[in-house]
Amino acid sequence: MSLGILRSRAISLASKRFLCTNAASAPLPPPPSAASPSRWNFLKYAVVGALTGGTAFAGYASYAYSLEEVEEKTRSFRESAKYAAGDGATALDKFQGLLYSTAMTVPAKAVELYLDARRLIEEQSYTEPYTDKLLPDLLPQEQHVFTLVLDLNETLIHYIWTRDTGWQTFKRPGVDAFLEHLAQFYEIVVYTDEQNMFVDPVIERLDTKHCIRYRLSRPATKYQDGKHFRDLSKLNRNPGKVLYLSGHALESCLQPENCLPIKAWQQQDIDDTALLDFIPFLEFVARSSPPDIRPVLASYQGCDIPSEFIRRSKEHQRRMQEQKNRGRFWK
Amino acid sequence: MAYQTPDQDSSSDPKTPTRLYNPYKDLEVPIRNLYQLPTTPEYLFVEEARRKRRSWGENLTFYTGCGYLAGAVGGAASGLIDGVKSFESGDTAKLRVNRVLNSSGHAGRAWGNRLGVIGLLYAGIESGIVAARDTDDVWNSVAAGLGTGALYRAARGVRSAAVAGAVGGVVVGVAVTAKQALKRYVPI
Repeated sequence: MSLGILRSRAISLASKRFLCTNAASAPLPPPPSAASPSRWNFLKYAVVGALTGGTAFAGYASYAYSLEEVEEKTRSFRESAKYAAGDGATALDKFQGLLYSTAMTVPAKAVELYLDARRLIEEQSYTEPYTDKLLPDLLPQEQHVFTLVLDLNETLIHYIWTRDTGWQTFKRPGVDAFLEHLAQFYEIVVYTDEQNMFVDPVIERLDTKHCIRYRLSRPATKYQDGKHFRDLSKLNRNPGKVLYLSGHALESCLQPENCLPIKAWQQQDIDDTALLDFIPFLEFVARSSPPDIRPVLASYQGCDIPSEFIRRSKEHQRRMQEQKNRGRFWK
Repeated sequence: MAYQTPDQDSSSDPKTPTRLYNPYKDLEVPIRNLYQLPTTPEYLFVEEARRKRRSWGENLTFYTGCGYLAGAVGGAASGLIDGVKSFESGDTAKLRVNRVLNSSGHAGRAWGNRLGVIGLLYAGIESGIVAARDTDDVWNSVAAGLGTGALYRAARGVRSAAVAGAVGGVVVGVAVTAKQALKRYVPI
C-alpha cells in the first residue's frame, strides 16, 4: 500500500480519536426486532395457502362428484358442527362439545356456502324446454295421425371436419325418399340437440319438398346429467302416438318406450339402407293405426325392427296360408 | 309392369351414380317402389362438394406464413453458426451470448422477410392464373413459379430476371412432381 494512503489513514484515525473522546458514554441504539416481520409473513402465507387449498379442493370436488354426492359425503360433517347437549352430559363433556362445534362452524359454513352456490349454478340454469307445449295443437281431422320424431346427426345427416376440406355435411342414403314417402302417413318433426343456426340451413337444404312440419332444436331439449335429452311428453301429442327414430335413440330420450333405434350412420358407410328398410314397418304402423304404439314397440325391444317385422310378416302370411289350406281340405 | 320410380334427380345431383333398392323385396307383396340409392357419399351442401382447393386468401396466408417461418428458422440457424465462428479468445460469456443473438436475429429477419415476400408473390400469381384460366393443374403452379422468380429479380435487370424465372419454374416443377410421386407411391 502506498505511503499517501497510510498517511491519510493515520490522519483520519487521529481526528476520530480526538472528536469522540466521550464515545464510551453514548448509549447504543437497541437492535431491531426480527420477530414481528416473521410473524406477519407467516400469517400471510398461511392465509394464502388456506385459500389456495380450499379453492383447489372445491374445484376437484366440482369435477369429480355430483351435487348429491358432495351433499351426502359432507352431511355427517355438517351435522357434527351443530352442538346438542345430551341430558346426561357432564360439564366437561358440554364444554368439549361446545368447543368442537365452535371450531367446526367455519368449515361447515364454507361447505354449505359451496353447496348453495353450486345448486344455484346447476339447477337454475336453462335446463327445461322453453315451453310445456313444444308443438301447436293437432288439427281435429288429424287426431288419428302418428307423430314421427326424427333426430338429425347420424340419423338423417352426418357432418365431419377435416384439415384438408373443412366442414362437410353428408345426406344419409335414401333420406329424400324416406321423408317424401312417410310424409303421406305421419306428422314429421325434427327434434335435435343442435343449435338453431345449424338446424335451419340444414333442414332448408335437406327438406326441399317441405315434408318436415316442425323443427325443434337445443332450447327445446331437457338438459340433464350433462346431456340434452328429448322430452316427448312436452310435444303436446298423445304419447301413445309418438315415435322417435334416432341413431342414439335409447340414450337421448326420456321416454324409451317410444323409441325406434336405428343404426347410427357415418358418411363412409355408403351401402347403408337402414332408412329405407324402416319404410315397410312405419307404413304398416300408419295403416293399421294401433291405439297405443308403446306395447308394439315393447314387443320389438332388443330386435332389429325392420328385419324382425319382415320375419313376423312372413310368419303371418304362412299361418294365413295354412288356414286357407285347412279350410279347403275340409270343404 | 311399369316401375313407379320417384323423381330423385330433382333433389340430388343428376351425375350421382345410383343403384335401385327395394325395401319390400322380402315381403311377398306387389312391388310398389324402387328407390334410387347413391353409391358415393351424397353432399347436403353442393358448395362443399364443389370446393377442392383453399380460397385465394387462405392460400396467400398459408404460403406467406410458411415462407416467413421457414426463412426465419433457417436464417436464425445460419446466424447461430456465424456467431459461434466469430468468437474471440478472451470473450466473456455475456459477450458471446450477445454476439450469437445479434447475428441470429439479423439473419433470421432478413431471410424471413425474403422468403415471405417470395411466398406472397407465388400465392398471388398462382391465384391470379387459376382465376384467369378457370382450371387447376400443374402448369398453373409452374407458371406461378416462373412469374415469381422473374418478378422478384426484376429490379436487377432483364438477364437476372430471366435466370431467376427459369430457376423458379424448375424448382416449382420439381416440387409438384415430387408431391405427385409422394401421393402415388408412398402409402399413408
